[in-house]
Amino acid sequence: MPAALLVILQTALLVALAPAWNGVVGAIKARLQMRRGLPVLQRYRDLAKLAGKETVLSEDASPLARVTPYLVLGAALAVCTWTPVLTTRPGMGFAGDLVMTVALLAVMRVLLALLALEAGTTFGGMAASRHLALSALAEPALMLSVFTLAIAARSTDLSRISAAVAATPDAWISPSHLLALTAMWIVVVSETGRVPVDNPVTHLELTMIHEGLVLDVSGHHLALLEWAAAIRQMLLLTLVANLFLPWGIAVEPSPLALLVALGAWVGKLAVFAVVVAVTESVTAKMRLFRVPEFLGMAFLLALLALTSDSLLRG
Amino acid sequence: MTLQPGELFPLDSALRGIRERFSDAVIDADRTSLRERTVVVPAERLAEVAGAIVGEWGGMLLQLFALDERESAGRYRLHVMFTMAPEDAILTLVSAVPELAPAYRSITTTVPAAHWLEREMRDLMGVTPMDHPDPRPLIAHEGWPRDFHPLRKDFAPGDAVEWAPRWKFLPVEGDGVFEIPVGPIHAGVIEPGHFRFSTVGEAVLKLDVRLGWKWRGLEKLAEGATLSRGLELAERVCGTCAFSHALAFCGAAEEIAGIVPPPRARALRSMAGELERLLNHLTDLGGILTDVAYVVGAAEMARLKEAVQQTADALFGHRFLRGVCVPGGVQRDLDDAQQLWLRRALADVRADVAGVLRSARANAAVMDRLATTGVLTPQVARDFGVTGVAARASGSVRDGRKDHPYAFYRELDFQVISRTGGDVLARLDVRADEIVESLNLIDQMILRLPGGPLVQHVGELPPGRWGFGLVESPRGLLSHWLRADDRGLIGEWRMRSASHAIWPALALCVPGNIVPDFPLINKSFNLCYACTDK
Repeated sequence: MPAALLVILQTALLVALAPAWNGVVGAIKARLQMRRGLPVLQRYRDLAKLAGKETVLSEDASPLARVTPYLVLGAALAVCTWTPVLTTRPGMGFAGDLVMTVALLAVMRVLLALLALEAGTTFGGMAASRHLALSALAEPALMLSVFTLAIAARSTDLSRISAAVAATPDAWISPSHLLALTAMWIVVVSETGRVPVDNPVTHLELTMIHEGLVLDVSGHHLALLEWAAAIRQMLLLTLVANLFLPWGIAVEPSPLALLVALGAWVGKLAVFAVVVAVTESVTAKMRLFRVPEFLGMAFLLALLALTSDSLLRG
Repeated sequence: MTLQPGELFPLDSALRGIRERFSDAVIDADRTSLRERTVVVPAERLAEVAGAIVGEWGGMLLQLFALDERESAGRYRLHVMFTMAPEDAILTLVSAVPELAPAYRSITTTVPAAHWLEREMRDLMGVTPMDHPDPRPLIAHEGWPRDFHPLRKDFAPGDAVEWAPRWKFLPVEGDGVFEIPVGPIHAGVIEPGHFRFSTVGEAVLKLDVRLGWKWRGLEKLAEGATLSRGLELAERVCGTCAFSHALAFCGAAEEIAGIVPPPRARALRSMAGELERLLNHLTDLGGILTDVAYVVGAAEMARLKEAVQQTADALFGHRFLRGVCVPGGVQRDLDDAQQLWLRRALADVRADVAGVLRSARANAAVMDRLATTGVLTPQVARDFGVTGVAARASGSVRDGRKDHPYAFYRELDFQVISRTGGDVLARLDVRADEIVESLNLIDQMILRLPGGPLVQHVGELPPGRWGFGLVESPRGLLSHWLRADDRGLIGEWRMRSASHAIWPALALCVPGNIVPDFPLINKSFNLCYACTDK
């Protein structure tokens, strides 16, 4: 299969399935509460509904407010192109690697924070301040934990890292790998606005972090941002699935291998959905001032992973 | 209560103290009913006498309002009511304020609990408390014209008024201090209230609460109405404690008419009252668990609340128990099969509530959010006359069902639940234990339900007489005060809910916490906006 086609296929999968994952988590949570819950496909209907609504912009809105939703979605799509979803064959590896991924995620964050401030309302400013403060703690942990793998693979290219981990099947049992995985998971929980860091279903303005950022956005702008957030979440989950646990990923993109890889990827995402839903059901949201300790722990774990990796490797 | 030899009941010691200390000022001390004593005090001495009653003789401010008697006597009449717990007695100071210069020295200077009451009275009645520490309007928002006082007799509902801006928030100034305005329109389905936080980073320095968006002028609407119309209004003051309002209103009417409802009616009233408490406490516990994102517990509480509401609907004909209580008795009866069914339904509720709370208490993440959050100190609770769950979570042992036994409570055996923490956890614990007590009470009543008629006929109201009803609503002590006019209809109606007393105290237990903890603190009180605004 030509490389270009593979890139398009993988990007399309990430984009198309992104809203469904939240739906699956919601459905499992509802089951755990003995409720019927929303249909999984509701998320797509919500996006369609938002896209059809009028977008209200302040008369004083700067051009930034108009372009931000497109820029954020664009940044998310760019990262999709070089993320290994089904195969470790580098498609767009020349365009971006691990560092570029982290940088683009940071760009999305900053754009969202600026957009939130742009509206000039209290909740936007409050959410932006919380969002940036937590991100500043989560980002180093994200970098360090993936770097642990990157050093072993001697490359920052995401596909090469994935291939390297896949090539040494028992590497994942090493302490450094497990530590890095734990750190990465905490970062994913924080970055995707999940309990115990944030409550994705809250309606209380004063407690919001990720929801507060888009409180003043409406219509198709909101649809774009919601979709971008879902894709971002999918990217982070795929990084966990295919960098840390790359079982089943296709080293050579034969149709059969790709099919197996698709099954493995969807299976891993489903397992993650169960883990997140159960976590959200058995724990409460922590006090905002405890979150830095939580993320500090992620950083520490990532640092330990890196250190033990260097020590054990000699 | 037990007294040492030589010790006086609170009411007697207060009356003796007033005679000794203020003999130059007090005009008359009179027994008007079995449980209310009125003392006429000149307006300029009110603050002094009130201060002594609360500070020295253990009284607690219950209600403060003005009546428009300009037409008949050329004055405004001020009533200041104090509960003298643990004695079932009310001490009322009555004062005349001249029509031409309607002002007197503010009671808030000596009794902080009068804070909102006096501001509200000035807005609605135009009687000005001088030297009030916070002279801003309470209910009169930007939408209110100057010198517009709707509770005065010369205003008729429906008269047109004009707009005039006149409200300012109290600013906190300094480097890095920000103001966060929240509401009155919220992201969720919440009643309208405006909260103005002054913060440094996430830490709250000051909270200014502004209510009044739901002021409907209910007290005005009842003037000149029949008792049944008044009851309709009372039941619609708020949704969640509709039955308590109806009961307090009927209590006031029955005191005026001088009748006591038959035993079976009183027992059924207590039963409905406990169902309402159950319903509210389950809702509030669910709210607390929702706010800390402990979703499984919250979903379970929502299910239990719905079960209780459906039980109420099936047995009493209304999910919020409206239409159960009427002056003189109740309209609904429970036969033996229904009583049995109620016991079975509530036995399930009892087991399930215990299970949910056990798992919530075993969860460290939940407990970490609840403990030490939003502490209401006993001092603040006392100063503001806080009652109900909020007071009992801060060390108080006052409960209207024990102190002022109404309905069937004199015949029933139950504990007053109290905690000393004053935080969100203490309020959760008090509610949890009160749920068990409510279930026990309902069981007791089913076992001992007296027979007999359901309603005692209430005849014409004797003109000019007044009476009051006290009810321990799910949120605290609720009082309704009624006076019959010369045609035997409702002349004046004044009510005060527990929420009215607790709101200013809530504002004081938020500073020192962080902004994202406010919704949890607010939910742990779960005060009513409509009850406060009226």
